[in-house]
Amino acid sequence: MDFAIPEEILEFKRSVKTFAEKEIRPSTEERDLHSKWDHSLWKKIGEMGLLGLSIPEEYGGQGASCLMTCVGHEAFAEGSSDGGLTLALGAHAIIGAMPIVLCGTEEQKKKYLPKIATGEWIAGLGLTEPSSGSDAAGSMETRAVKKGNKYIVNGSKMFITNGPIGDVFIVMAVTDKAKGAMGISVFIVEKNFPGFSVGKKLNKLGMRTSTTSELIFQDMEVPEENLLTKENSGFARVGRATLEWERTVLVAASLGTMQSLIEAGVRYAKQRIQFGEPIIRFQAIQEKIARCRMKLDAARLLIYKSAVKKDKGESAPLESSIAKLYATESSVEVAYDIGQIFGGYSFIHEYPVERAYRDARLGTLGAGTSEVMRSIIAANWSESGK
Amino acid sequence: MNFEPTEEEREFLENFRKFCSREIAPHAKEIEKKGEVPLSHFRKLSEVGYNGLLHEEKFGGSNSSYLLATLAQEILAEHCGATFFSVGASLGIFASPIREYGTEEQKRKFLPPVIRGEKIGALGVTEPDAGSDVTRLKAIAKKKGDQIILNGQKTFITNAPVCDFAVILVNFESEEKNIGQTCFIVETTRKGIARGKPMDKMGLRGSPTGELFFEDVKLTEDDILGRPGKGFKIIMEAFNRERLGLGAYSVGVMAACLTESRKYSKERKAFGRPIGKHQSVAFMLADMLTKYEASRCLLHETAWMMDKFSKEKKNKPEHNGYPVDLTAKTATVKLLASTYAREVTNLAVQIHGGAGYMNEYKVARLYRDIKIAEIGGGTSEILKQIIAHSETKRVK
Repeated sequence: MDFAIPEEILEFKRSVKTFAEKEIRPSTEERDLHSKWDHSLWKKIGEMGLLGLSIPEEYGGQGASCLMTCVGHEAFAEGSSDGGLTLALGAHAIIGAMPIVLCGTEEQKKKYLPKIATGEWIAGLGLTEPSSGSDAAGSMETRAVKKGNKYIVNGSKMFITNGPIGDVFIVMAVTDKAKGAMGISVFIVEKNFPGFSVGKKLNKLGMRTSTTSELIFQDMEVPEENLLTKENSGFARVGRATLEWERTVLVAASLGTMQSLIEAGVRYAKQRIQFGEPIIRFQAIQEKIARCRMKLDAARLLIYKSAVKKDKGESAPLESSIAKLYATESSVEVAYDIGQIFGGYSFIHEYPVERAYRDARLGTLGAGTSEVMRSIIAANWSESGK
Repeated sequence: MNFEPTEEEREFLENFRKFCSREIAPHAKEIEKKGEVPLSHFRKLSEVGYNGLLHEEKFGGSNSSYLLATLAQEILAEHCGATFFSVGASLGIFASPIREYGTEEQKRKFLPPVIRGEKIGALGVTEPDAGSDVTRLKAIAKKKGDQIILNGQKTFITNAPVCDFAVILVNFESEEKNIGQTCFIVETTRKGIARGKPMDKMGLRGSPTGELFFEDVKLTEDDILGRPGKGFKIIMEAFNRERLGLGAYSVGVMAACLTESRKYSKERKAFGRPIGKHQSVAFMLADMLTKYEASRCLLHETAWMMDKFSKEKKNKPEHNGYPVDLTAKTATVKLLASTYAREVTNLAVQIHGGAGYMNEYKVARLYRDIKIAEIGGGTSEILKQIIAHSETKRVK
């Protein structure tokens, strides 16, 4: 065993954190309040190399390992105090790009990855639908029918991060209803394909600095060369590979948020005086700090463990689900506990803990709810074997 | 980064697991009834190399790593908590302060027989009126000329009813001045040392616990462990190691709960299917595994850090960008693992339903056995203070 993160990754972590503190952090409150997308920040994130972090170098990315990508997202969240923008980054660089990296043909990679890596094109993923959430495969209504050398797609996708601003989306659609999950195909969809449109921007509880909308397909024409992997094999292959990355890397952002929240809580408790002394001297406050710290320490290791397994080229359904369940539930608890330390101020917009509390709520819902994670863990462990 | 043990470690652990399921687990119930871990267990564990893992070769050990010792401790705890505790008190909290601070003579005298499993050691710190607040100790050794006379009592001592030796922390003063809290090593056969009868406990009933009484016990300078007046530091360091061990104990208990509950959830049927197929049970199992994994990762990282940093005298070492504070780290792992283990044993009993309330089932014992992990070696309340204090110092 070796629990040391390689020095070059630590170096990278420091530089990303400093970048995010300097370039992103100053406007986070303002963008959150007005749910504003600032494209100039996106360009800077691209220049920093974060938009193609895990895309291989030959396609214009940084070729970072899953572990390094996790640490990058963690540092970005910590420095920026901006869960929404970190989410937009994850939707683009992980669930938007990784299906092409992991499952794309050489032509598909050459065509899309360089543009995604620089951020010239913004990417996203469409799996959820208005009537299909946890039961993604079973309830999927979006259909794709082959006509000549095109697929005609009808239906819609819901809660799509980067929907309003995205240029290219990975979209799942049913091609053979009778086969259930084995009858779903995956397509690379460009926003200018005939029949593609975007619903109105959704007004969210948290993650407000990211943009979210529905994607609507009306007889949308997708060229057959934009089919990702084989027909009907999409959900199993693309879904599994991508979701493990998502449940590892996107959740790594929560580590950075927890780190900055705990430090903010400690700083505040040291200077806030009540009953004649700094509140950090009260056991009720110390207890919260300790509990938050212990959850963060454990969450961090679970995520890194999942990432290290991915880097060995192994599948990690159990590890990534455990990491996702634990880290996201812990984030909600940490935001709550640190909020208690800030008292009434935690209810006021100017304080980062107010935003973090709202942002953290998404963690247990997106990329598979906590309940879905528990189902996966049970299916992969307690219900399996003899 | 790498979360897997080496091939060599894996082999040792596999063999140790086989040994525990063959030699230790079958006796767990009987040990609980008798209230004593047989000396043969100490000897057998010595033969398979468990006792000496953290001790020097010249005293019969293998000078291995905290990591390997921790991994082995998990396995022993999984098979029999009482054996883990009694052997741990002897080889860990009794022998480890001697390993760290003993003179060559003390080491030669006390370590080999304990490592061979022929003699049993114990550590005495807690007193009837001094638990978390160690400053309130009353036991006192008074120096008069060449003679030191000890009076007082120690309580809640694992192995007290059976131990041959004990390390104790007591106040120490000469005629002129108060020297401060000091550690002594004593043989329990000395005149003036008496034991109370074994205490009747909620759990870990197989590991005997009791009091030691000292009445005008004659000590000499040779009985002092480490430097006079520096006993508190020796004990605090021993607590760091004990907390790592209690983390391993908690993880081992969780492992046993997982095995028992997974098996039961497949066998037991309700409403036409195995109960594990019902969401309420499946989700309990998922939560149990998640808490086990979280604790295990943190435990292994902490053990690895003990190997890397406990000897390092370098100024302000860092681990992954954060300053190393082993006291806070071992406190964190014990707090996390013991909290989760208590929750996990509760879920394990819940999954077993009425059967889980019957002592015939292993989970009933685990449920009682785990509670001590939140109390011994520093209560959760003390640990939270330690962690918060460390964070307060770190965050400027």
